[in-house]
Amino acid sequence: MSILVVGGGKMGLSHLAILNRLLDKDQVALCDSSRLSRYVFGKLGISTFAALDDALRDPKRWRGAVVATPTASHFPIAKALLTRGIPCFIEKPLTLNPAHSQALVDMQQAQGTVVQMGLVTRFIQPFVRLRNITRQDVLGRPLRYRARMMGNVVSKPDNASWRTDFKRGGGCLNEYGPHLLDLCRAIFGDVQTLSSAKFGQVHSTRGDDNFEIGWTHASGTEGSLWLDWCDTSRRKSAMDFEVYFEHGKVMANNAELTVQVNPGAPVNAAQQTALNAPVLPYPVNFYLRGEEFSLQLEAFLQRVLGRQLLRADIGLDVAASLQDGMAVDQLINDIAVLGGLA
Amino acid sequence: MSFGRIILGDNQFLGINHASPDKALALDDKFAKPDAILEVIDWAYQAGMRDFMFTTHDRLKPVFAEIVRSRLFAGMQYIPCLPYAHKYANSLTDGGIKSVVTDHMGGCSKSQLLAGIGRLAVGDFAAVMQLLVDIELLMTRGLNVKGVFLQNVIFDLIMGLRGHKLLARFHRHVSEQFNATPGYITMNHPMAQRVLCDEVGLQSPWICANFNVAGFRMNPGKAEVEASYGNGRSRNVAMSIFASGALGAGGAVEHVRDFKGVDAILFGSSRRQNIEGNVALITGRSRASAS
Repeated sequence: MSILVVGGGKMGLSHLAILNRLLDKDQVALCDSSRLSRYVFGKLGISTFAALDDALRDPKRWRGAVVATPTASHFPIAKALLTRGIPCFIEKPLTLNPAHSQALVDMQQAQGTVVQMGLVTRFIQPFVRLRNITRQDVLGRPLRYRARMMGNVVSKPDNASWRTDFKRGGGCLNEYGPHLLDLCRAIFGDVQTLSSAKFGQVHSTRGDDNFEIGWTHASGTEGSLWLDWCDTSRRKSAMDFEVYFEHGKVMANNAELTVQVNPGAPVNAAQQTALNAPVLPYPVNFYLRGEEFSLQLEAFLQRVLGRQLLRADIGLDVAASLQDGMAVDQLINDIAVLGGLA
Repeated sequence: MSFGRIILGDNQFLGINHASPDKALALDDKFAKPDAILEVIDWAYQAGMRDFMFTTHDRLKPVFAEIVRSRLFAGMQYIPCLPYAHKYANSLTDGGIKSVVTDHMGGCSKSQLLAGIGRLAVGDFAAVMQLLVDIELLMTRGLNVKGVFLQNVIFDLIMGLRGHKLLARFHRHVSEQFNATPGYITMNHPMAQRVLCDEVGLQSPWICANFNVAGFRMNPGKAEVEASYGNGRSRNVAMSIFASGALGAGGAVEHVRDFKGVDAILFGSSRRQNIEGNVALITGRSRASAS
């Protein structure tokens, strides 16, 4: 009884290492078509499979699977896993084709199998706090917000790799979109109207380097988003929010959250204390590269194995569903169309 | 072999501040020039610090070149932490495991490279750790290297993969070839201690992990980390003692200084006043005599 990681690239490696310490020895296996990957992981004592069919010969062996292959193969792999009723953790984006995403959602709903998307930014502590403030109505209704994701991913012209080619899944919207767009949905709910989308190019000629997006959520909250992967002043990618509520304002980024309560707002002393409590990263059972990466897998295992794993006080509903994955893919597509990129 | 009670860290030089992206950005600008870095090392040296722990980041290359050329900081002990993982992570994203190997072998001498590849070719996979150490320590030539630590990004990854042979090889190579003390940085102190002592079989390994009054990034929990710091099975370097400034400095130093099991304290600062003040607090000397 164990967990199968499909794909031994950067994300697969990270997931495998975390799972391998959340579970007992010899409980995690890898499926990867690369001989070099199988050699390296095999040397480390990890069981490996060259093909999914080999791994699934005995489907009862797997309590769950992690899909961390290139997006184009997500659909056939997830379908093969769901057909056998194996719970899945699927990396973003979900698929390259809305019909495929819908087919997976239909299968999952018919069976009730646990499927979680690797939309990891939902688990970053200040953003969980922001989500709670919004949902618990402490500062009243969120009226409007500005959300940004900026980083220094592309610093020179690159006209060869897939990374800057929108048609091949590259570009800033495809890279940053799943992080920030999903986070906005997780905090403020479904998006109802996409009002504006405009892209810009700095170094890239076959895709976007930045994107300005305006939309309105079903709740009426208005959002203005900025994605930029050519910000040379950044050492690593980071997100920030500035949210105006009826009774105050919240600023949040990957590490901090500050609250300004409007004078005369109906916020009692206990609520005020809770709002100003310091934001410390959540404790995790095994830290590898940021709490959020451990937390999302702790949540997945907790759902699949049915035993308490999360040390952090987080509801399992923070985790992204297959529908969330599909919604984000759809939004990215709509934004690209409205912006004239697709 | 031991380190001093107080070790200067380098996060500030690389624009790292775990609690504030804006502060991180400002630091990154400030220390883009080697002179700014040398000035801070000099303040620490004058305050009595004799150990400098740093990441093998390209930014420090000209700094070390100047230290060696001008024979600065006599008696200073250097503790490189390797690797600066972003450069390898970027290779992995762009070209997979193969690129990690091909992108970073350039600086190695031919004989080292051939020996390393030879060992790998005959199935001695753990030799990859020797190669890593050899390549990463090229930039410390001419410095008094007292210890070599594995960064948490790579150590915790190897621990996750249960690559115990890799850790054993690293330990042996650093001890025997460099006559230096191996150490391990981790975000999981209790697990690291268990793995190094029980699974790899090391005696009193040096472990560097977060230790602070707030419990900031002390996994799996503050109580567990305090217990493993205090049980005497490892020698411990406390880092992130101010919780990246998230809680202010009040009582932070005393909490760490007075805890049994903290053998050394690592801190970085970009301000002379803070460096001198912290040294005075940790050593119990007045600021005037420390500087």
